Amino acid sequence: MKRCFLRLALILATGCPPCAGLAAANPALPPCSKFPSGRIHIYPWTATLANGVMSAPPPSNDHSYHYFDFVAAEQDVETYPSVEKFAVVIPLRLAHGIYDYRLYLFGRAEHANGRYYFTGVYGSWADTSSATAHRRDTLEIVLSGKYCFDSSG
Amino acid sequence: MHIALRTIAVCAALLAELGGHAAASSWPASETGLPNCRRSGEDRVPIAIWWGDIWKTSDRDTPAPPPPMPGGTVIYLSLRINPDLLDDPDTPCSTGEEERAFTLKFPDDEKRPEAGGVRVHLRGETGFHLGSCTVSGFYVSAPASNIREGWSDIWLRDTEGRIAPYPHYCVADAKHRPQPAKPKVLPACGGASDDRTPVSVWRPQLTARGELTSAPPRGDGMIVSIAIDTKRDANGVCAGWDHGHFRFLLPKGASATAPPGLLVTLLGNEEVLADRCRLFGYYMNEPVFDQSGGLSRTYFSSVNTDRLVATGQFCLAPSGIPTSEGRSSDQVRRTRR
Repeated sequence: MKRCFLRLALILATGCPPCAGLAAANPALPPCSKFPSGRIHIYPWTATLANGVMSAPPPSNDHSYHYFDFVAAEQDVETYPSVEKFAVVIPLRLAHGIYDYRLYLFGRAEHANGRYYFTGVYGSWADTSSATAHRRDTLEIVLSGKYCFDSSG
Repeated sequence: MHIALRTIAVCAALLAELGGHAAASSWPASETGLPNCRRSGEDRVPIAIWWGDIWKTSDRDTPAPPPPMPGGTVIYLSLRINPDLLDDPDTPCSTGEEERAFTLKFPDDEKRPEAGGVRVHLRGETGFHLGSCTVSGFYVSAPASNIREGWSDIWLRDTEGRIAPYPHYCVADAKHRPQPAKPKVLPACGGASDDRTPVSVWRPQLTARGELTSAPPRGDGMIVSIAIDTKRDANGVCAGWDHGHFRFLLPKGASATAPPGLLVTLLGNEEVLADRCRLFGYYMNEPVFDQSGGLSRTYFSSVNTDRLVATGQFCLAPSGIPTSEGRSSDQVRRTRR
């Protein structure tokens, strides 16, 4: 109940509710077959960020490619002049305190409705303090014939 | 004797010249590492070459820029460019093969450059050789409009070495250009056991006001086969044409799938006919999140058919196999009844 009120307060304060299903991208990439095909699997990652609160942990480092469906309030996004580079800070609660984990995003993002929309296939890697994600061209992903979308997680 | 010696010398020079041309015409093809395309019966994806020296964009010997291409078209570049033609000539072309972006302008009329022409925007690794900026390698196109209006833009970026291993490509230079054959189309899907991705067909009718009557299939990365015919006005301008793109509105309430009104933008695969304009071919959908003006938006851009077919991963959904006339087989069946 308390958590729900906290989220409601967040919705009213930011207009970018992490629990309201704002992330609305609908990936339609070729699905992976049940049998091994040699294709590279792309896994979904959906999250919203508002007032420093992430709705989901950063993408798993186990997989190289993720389909990002990530919406962040514009005040939570650091931008860099004249380059397609962004950064968001994700507070991570660990046993000995809260750490600021930084996610760098490279490539095109849509800035609209007071938010940044990071959607598409990203190749990412991470270490203990930060993660870097580079957006891949969707058309090249489709036409290369080498990737498939694995919605099994 | 003197005349004979002179004749021999001239013949030798001519032979050398011819030999030189033969070698020159084959070297860019061999540089690609791809096999030559066959003149007929070619199933592989033909890769064109844009090569030569660009010292003056209006010069007769300057290789003409490539035509507008659908998105994802691969082209091999082997160019030596006058650094003065780059839009920022003060930034030298690196000898360290660094990536840079620049624009080359090819005006239609050198005396009236404001009238427009073709702009080629290149992003890739460059080099510096004997006073020239060199660009070499496989490049891939962003979708571009076929309709010329002032300046036309072609966007090419290097493929970062991701093309060469593809076995189903061949190089199409002047000597090895495949004969124009029937346009490639996706095969029909084969039922429940077919694990290929079905491609939907969207053939919307336009109202007298040029508005859509049905919503397109949507999904990020979704391939859709589209055909739309639009009128041309008294000035010959295609209805829906707006600064390089086609835009059509599906009004509020016209379709249950787009309640607030949907603005559909399309880029590429256009053809201007005598009495109408036609958008026809394969497009890829991408989401647009901007909801200003109370409208939802979505975006379709043209896709290179050869590469799409060559993936072997797509088939046409059975409900709408397009005919050469651009109508779905369903529509054709309905018409015949």
